[in-house]
Amino acid sequence: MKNKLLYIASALLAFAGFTACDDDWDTPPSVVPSVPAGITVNTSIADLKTSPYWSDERNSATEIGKTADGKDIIIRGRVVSSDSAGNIYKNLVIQDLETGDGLTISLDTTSIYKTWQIGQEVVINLTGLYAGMYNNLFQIGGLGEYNGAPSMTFAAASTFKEHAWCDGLSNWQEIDTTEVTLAELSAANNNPEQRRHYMSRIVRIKDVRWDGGGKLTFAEPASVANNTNRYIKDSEGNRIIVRNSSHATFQGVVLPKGTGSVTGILSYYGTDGWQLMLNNLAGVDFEDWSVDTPVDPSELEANTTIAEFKQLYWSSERNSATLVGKTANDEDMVIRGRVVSSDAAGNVYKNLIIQDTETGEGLTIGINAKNLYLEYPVGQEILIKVTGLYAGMYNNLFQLGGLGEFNGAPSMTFAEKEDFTEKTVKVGTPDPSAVKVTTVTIPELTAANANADQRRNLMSRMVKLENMTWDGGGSLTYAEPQTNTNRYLIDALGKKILVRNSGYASFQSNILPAGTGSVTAILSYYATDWQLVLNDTDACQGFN
Amino acid sequence: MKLKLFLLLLLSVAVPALAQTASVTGRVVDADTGNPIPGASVTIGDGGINVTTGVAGDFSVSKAPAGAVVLFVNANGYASGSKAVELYNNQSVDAGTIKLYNEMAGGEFFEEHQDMLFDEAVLEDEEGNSQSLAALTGAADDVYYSTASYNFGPMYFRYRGYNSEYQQVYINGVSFNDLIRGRFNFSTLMGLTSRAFRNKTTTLGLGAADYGFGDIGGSINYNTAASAYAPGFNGSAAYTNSNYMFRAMASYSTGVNKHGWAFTVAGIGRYSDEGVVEGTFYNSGGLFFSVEKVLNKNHSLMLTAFGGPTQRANGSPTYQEAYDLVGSNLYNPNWGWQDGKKRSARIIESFDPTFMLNWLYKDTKTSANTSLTARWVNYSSSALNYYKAPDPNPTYYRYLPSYFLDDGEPTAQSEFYTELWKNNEAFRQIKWDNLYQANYLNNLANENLPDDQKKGSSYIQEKRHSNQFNALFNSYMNHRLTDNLSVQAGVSLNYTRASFYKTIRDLLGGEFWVDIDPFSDRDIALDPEMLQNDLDHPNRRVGKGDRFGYDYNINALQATAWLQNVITLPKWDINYGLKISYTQFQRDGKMRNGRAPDNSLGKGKTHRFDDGAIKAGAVYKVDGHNFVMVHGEYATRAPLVDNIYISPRVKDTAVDDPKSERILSADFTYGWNYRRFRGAISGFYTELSDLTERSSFYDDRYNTFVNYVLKGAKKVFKGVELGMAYRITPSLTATAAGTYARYQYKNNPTCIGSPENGIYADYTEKVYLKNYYVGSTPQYASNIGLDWAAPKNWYFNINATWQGDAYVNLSPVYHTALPDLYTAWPGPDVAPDEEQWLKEKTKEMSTQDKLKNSFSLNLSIGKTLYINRKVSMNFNLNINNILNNEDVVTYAYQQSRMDIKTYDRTKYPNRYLYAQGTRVFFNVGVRF
Repeated sequence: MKNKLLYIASALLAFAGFTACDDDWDTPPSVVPSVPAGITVNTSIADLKTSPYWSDERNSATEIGKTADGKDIIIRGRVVSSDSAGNIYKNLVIQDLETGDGLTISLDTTSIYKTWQIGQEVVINLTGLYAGMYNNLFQIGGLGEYNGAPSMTFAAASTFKEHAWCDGLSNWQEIDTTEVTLAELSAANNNPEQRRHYMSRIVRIKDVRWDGGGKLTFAEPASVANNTNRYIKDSEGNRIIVRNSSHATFQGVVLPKGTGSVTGILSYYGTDGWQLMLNNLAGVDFEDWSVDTPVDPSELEANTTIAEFKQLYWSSERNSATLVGKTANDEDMVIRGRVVSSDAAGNVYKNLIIQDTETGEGLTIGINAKNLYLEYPVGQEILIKVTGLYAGMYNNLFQLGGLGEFNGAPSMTFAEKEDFTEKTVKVGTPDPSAVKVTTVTIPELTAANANADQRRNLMSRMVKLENMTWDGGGSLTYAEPQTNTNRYLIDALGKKILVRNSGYASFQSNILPAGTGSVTAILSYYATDWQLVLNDTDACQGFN
Repeated sequence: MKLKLFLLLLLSVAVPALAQTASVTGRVVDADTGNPIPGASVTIGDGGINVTTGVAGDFSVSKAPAGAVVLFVNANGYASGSKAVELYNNQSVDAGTIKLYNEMAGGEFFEEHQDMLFDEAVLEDEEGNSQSLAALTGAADDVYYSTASYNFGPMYFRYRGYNSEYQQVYINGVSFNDLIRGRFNFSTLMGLTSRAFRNKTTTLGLGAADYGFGDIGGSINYNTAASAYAPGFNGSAAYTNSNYMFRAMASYSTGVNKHGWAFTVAGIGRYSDEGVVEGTFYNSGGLFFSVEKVLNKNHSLMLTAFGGPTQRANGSPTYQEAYDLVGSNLYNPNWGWQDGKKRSARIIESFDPTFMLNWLYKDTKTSANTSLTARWVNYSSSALNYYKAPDPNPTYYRYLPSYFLDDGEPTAQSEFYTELWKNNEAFRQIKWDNLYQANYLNNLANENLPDDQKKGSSYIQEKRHSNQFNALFNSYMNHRLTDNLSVQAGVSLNYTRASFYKTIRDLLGGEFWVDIDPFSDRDIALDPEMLQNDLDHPNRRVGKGDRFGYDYNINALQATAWLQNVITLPKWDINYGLKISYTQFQRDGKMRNGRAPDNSLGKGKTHRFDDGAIKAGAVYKVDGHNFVMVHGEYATRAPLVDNIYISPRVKDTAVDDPKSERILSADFTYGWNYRRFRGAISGFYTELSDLTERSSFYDDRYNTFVNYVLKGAKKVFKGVELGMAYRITPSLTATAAGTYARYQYKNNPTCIGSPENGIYADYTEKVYLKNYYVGSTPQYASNIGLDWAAPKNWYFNINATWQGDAYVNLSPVYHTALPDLYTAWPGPDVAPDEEQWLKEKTKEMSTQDKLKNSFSLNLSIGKTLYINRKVSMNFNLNINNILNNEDVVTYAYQQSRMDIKTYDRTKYPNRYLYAQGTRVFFNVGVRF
């Protein structure tokens, strides 16, 4: 019986084992797209971007013919564009595998990214399609008509499918991104060879800032406009359009702040010139994506006086820059002041000087913009939420501004206009007559120079000096043309004080008044001594 | 002198021979059913002469000693029997019929149980994709088969994984397998399996039978000779909570009276106003009538007639999402409220009156059965149809919350629809009032329109008919050549004319229906001629009862001849046989269809197939208790009509060069039979090649219906079966049975797709099916049970079944190379290595989903009450699935539609059909 059971058990196991070896399922092969046999690449993208297809006309359309030996023109490229984020529309951009030369193809279909995947190699038989300029952008597409003349339009998707083949799967890591600066692009704009070289290329531009960072969204919503031009600019002030679609998934994202790099495809339009097209936000490499919340005027209340502010951020160093933090109560620090300076005449440059409405204590604010007087005229009271801006010494002049760099160390520079205006609220209407003027004498100023506290107290005040005579009065001009010029006022005792005038001021060529009178000006400071800054020639009163 | 010596020698040699020249013949039958018992052992006295009965239960001993002898008869599962006979030299004595009584306790009890299972097995969908239960019931001795038929039912267990067309069912030796679909429809038996159709012989697997060649899945022969029924009356009433609720049965047999007449009549009615599945109902009746006249001791004539009209409504497989929302796996989308009553859209009606005349001949060595049968099959299933209107099916994918998900995340709309599905019953069922309303609006609009612009119904309920007329001739015989050798042979002829058409059942308030194809009209810019179903009567307006849509016949003919030898030796039983058949069929279209104007009306091509089969088997009887058995068969088989015509409703086109299937099957068994412990273990291996399979579905790539034909497919079925019974005490038996098998495709066949709108050419592609599983049948099943024949005629059985390794019926579309699959790549942020992603995605698309394993605990209690010597009553209570497991999937299939935009597998999910939870069956019967 036991033996029997053993036999039964082993027979069972043997059969079961035989049954169980059922092998893995034979899954179908994964089909990788490929180019049919007999299609040989014979033209490069660079060659294509020459005549007869490239034109100096703004618009042109030419049917693509054959090669010199009568074969169809066949190119190969790697896809660098993607419409998956909805920003690129009905365009397919490829690049030459070796040189990175770009080519834009206009296709009448959406969801191009599915079939012509980013990083995929494609082989295209161009013969029979059309090539030409579309508002100065070289592209491949179909033949259309505009105002009776042949023009480029989209190629029909079904037609294109018969002309183009994907070869393999995506090799997106192989995409060759060219680094370029805005200055180079600017130069290329005027050089047809260079323009050809960069057109439709995927590029990375480093060290740029967004105009409207922290405030504007990538694009206006669709109800407002189909496409929106945004700008990025470098430290030299060069800038380029970044054209974003209202249908992009990132339309509502707010532009980042600070400096970073942007990767996009160089497009071209009419006379605007270069336009950068983003595939998606992965190409926008910035760290600070915080959104600036505009200041609610009803919330702003001054909690720090200008005097207190200066004391907090004063430094004995010649140059310093510190981030302005919160008050001891952990609130945003808010100061109140009345505008005393005006850059209308162009003498005051990128500065706004305000004073404590009670004490007259002054504060210089550096703002990277001109014509500040338009928004902040003399006599206008303002509240500034200073938390987040920077304060410190600039060659011993205390100021409020932005963070810059000098010789590797943080230093004061102008605050960006948007950074300032979003933190500032105007109170009431301007009242120039309320400006407090402090009368001082040169001996008082000299004495104050030696004492930090006194220096601080007087710095940036609106001061009046009486019985002054211009050195060179009646003969010298206010300033040499286009040069910042030092002039001197002399008091009754023969002591001098420096007046610094801008060579770009509107009154630059006026002759300094002769005789004796009073001068009302802003008491600025530089390095070791005081200097006066005039708003305009009205500062000089009583001179005969 | 030498001559005298020679003669003397001759005489002396002859004398012993002469001394044993008596011979005796006879037949061994089951005392209860009258069915022959093959393989019974007949021993003469203690002389040691022993023969084995042949497949017809017949035996012959030709060198028996003269005088009074006792024949001892033994067969497994039966109590031994004996008969005393007087034998004479040079004479053959007919010992007649020796009856053996079934030893298995609770035989009657099992019959009741079996009834219930048969009824459950009859769950067909309108395309006839049912997998009728292979109900091979005990040959009392085979534990595995008994278990497989009684306990493996719920998950639609199929014997050895075969489709039911590989099992032959005979009635009085006439094969009743449908020529068109290949299978036997168990609803033919009308539920009278314990009465009218109780006398049956079962042949397991590749074994040999006396009534026919059989098939690899085994065969059953129902014997309806009125003389075989035990005389008396038998009535019962039952209640169950399944597709029907009440059943009443009665039968009466006279037995053979002194004038040689025997008469049996039986009737049955089954009814439920609503079954366990909401919105279903059941209404059927059946009548059976058999009369036999024994003309003389050799001849008798019998006439059998039966038929049972049935009308029922059932559920259909739907999405798991719908089941989950409703909170029940028995959710049925096919009904809706109308005027405060539940109205079903899917109604099945059938009525198959059958008349058979048999002429039986028997003498001591030969028996023969010749018959003529006429049968009319009437089958229709109803469903809704619609034209240029929203889909009335409540589970149309746009009415499900999943349609409104945003990238898998809920949205306000998906939440809204979820609430509706969960709480608003009217929403998730058919909105009959809306359908009528749509039609009424058309009628209103019609009032102001000229006649040629009037609109017909937007919604109708149509009836799809599959009728048949069968004329069958059959004759088979069994002849004993020697004590050890018998021969069986038969011929049969089946002429079938099948008609397929549809009629309008209900216009749902509309004025008429225009006979054009509503699906084609959705296709892009089709020639209006292509919309027509009947070009000779374009845009015909049809009303209730009119034929429309499609109308064609299939005329089929099959002729078969078979021959078999059975050799029974003391240690060996050997059988071998041969069968040849000729099959032909032809389509006869009655409508000229616009999508195939040259190829639809009239008689089409005749397809002919010549097939043959050979089989052999041997049993080695190691000793009285152990045996080893081996069988093999090689056969070819004509393809089914269903699998040959690409789109028979439209055109005559068939698969190019249709081939017969080839079958190779073998099994090996070791069995043992001791007083207390018996069982068998088998291994089997079957290979089916050159298979043709057809399916139709809507292909989004072509925006039209596509008929898809798989050619040259190969399947392998292999496994091990075990059945054991251990008699703990004479009344307590423990059984264990199970199978572990694999039913797989074993090649990558080619497939031809034929888009129906005719705009696209037919295409060929390779389908990667190797090693994928044959769907919807568990590949693992096991059962352990305890039977107790308690005192005072009580009977108890408790058993537990585990089934698993069942997989979804796959759709070949997901197993082809997909050239555009790469476009579903989610991009470098999500899947940096596209090649790796593509490999995994291809695997995901071609994964065959596994169904949940199931467990079921079942209990049965029976009691027989003897009121007096004549009258007895029996009570049976059966509770299946006591633990109310409601997660048993009986059928699941993968949809053929594929999302070609994002290749999202969840967009077209599988459809499932679930078995009910606890099932109760209570029956009271009386017999006298």
